[in-house]
Amino acid sequence: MINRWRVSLIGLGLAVGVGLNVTLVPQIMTPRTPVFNGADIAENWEWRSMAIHSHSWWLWEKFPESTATHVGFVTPPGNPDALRVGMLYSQWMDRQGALSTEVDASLPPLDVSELGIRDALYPHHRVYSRIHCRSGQEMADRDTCYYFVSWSEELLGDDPPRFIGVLTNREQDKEEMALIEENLLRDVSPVPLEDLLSIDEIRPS
Amino acid sequence: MQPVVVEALVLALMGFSGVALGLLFGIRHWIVLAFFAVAASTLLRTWSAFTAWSLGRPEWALEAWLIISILAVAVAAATRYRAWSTAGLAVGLFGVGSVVAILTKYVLGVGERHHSDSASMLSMAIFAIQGEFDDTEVIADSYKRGISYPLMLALGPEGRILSAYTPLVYFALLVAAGWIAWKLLAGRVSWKVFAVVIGALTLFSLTVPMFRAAMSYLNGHTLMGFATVLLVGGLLIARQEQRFSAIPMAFTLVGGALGATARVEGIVLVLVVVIALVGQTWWSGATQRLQLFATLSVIGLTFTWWLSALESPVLERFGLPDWVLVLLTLVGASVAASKWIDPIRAWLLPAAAAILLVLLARVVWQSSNPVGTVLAQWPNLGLGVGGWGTAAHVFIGSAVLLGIRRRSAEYRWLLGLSALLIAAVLFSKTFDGGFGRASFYDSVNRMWLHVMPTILLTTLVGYSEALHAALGRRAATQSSPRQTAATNSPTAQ
Repeated sequence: MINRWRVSLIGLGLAVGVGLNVTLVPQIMTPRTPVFNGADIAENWEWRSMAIHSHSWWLWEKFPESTATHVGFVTPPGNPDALRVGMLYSQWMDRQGALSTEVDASLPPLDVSELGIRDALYPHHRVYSRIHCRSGQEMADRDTCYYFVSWSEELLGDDPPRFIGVLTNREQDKEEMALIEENLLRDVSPVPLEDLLSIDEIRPS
Repeated sequence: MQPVVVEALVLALMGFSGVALGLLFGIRHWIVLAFFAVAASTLLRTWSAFTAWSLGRPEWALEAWLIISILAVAVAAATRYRAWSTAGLAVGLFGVGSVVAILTKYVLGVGERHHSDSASMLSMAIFAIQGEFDDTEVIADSYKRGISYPLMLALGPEGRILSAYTPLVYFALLVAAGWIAWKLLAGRVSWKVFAVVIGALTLFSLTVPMFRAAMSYLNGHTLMGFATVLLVGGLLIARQEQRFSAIPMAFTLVGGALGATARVEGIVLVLVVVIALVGQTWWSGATQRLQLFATLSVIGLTFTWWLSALESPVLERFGLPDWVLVLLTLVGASVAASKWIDPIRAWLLPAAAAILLVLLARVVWQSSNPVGTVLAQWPNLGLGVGGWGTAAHVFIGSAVLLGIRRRSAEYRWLLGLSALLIAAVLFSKTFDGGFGRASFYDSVNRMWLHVMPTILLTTLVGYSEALHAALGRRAATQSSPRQTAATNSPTAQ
């Protein structure tokens, strides 16, 4: 008799467990639906690009001969006492020389957050993800920023594209950086790119 | 060549070589050979890559795997040809699993959850391993995620992973847990009772998000869980037979070597089960002791080989030269197999459990927030944040309702090992600090997958015994669970 009670309670527990798993659990923890399915995952550049540390891999997949500049995590030019700023774009794959893209991480991203051009850049984006970063001195600890890559097919020339790292939003908890193809950035920016300052840069007057 | 064809060919070679290795171990059961082949072929790939790296020729890794696999098939064909019908059935079952695994990817399009760890795994498999980088430093630096799993993924078509491998490991794990449970029940319940229990647990498991995710999650956790369940199965079957026969030895050797390379913290879980095996009191005779020595040596040397072949930073972190690890392994295996420790064997497992608990208590005591540390996994397991649904509640509730006194020795051992492995998971996390955080992606939350198959095995055995007793059926071939418990209990040894 005891055994029957025991088994009945276990059966009841399993039934309640199944019921809660079907009804309540999805409200607590809904697994993200896999964005990209199937066997092609390993060559799916969009899937790869969604993960931190894989941004340079993604760019290489899409534009094997491209160049990326202003993607460093370094002390701001002319501001030697400041915290390092920028994005952690490079990773071991670049160091190994396995990727044919050229990465110049000697300078931090250009600061376009005050130019009001973010809404003109964003509609061209192909990737939306996060990247390790520090968007300015107010961000004491290194954290992650939102991240996207934009280019316009009409503006791409015959030469391999050049992408420039920029800071598009430095508002707390909404920090955002991007890689913008040079021709698109020139087209949208109200000031010549050569006059843009990088994050927290101080130029000698 | 179509990617699906390449995957099918790789899986076919895995099936033949894995079954061949099982035959060479002396396994003669076709179901065992089929799921064992997944583990054995993974180990062949791991050892062949270590050989290439040790020789300073990473570009030979693929060829080394092809040669060693074909060699295994040839040797088995020459020496075990009488078992051709068993081998044929095993290869057939492996083939069915492979076809289903391929279908999940190429036809059903079952996708993977996006996770940065998975992306790191992909990049290591495709770029560093498949790309045959001369400089293996980057592979060495990624020691945390293990080496066996990315090595297998790198066997995929050029620029792609071996996508069917992950679901195949999951299927092998389920079949292994089912077969080991049936073996441990040893005719004490009818197959109908067992089938009802399997059906109920399958229905429940399908509703748990983490169980569903594990089938296609690109990380080494499921492989580690498979290795752990092989180890536990090897221990309990040896204990049931009171000897180290072919199946327990094969499970222990391959499960142990795989566990030591599937994840870096896997060595802690392997040690726990190995101590339980060495702690058995029935070791006798030169042959059995030699087998134990050889098995433990292979496990330890495989782990050392991994760190040594890649000049892993782990050696530097712990200040251990590789030759010291080799020496420790051989001396440890010799002592474990010797007669000298026979008088204290029964105390080894309780002592290890006590040390583990003291170490965990020390972590809590030294924490700035002891209560927070103890409750670190509560949101994941208790409140559903970790994707485990009601799995933890059902397991603990079942353990309480099933009790211990009326259960068989096998169930009691499984319950004890599950608890010890859970403690080992928490202990292994302390190298990174703390007991984890509330998140589906927390490493401890994912590391529960290492213990999940053992818990499944425990539950299968416990439920089957309870349902059998509730239906008032007599044991088919053996004494009642209670009698078995009395004769097999650790204190009766």
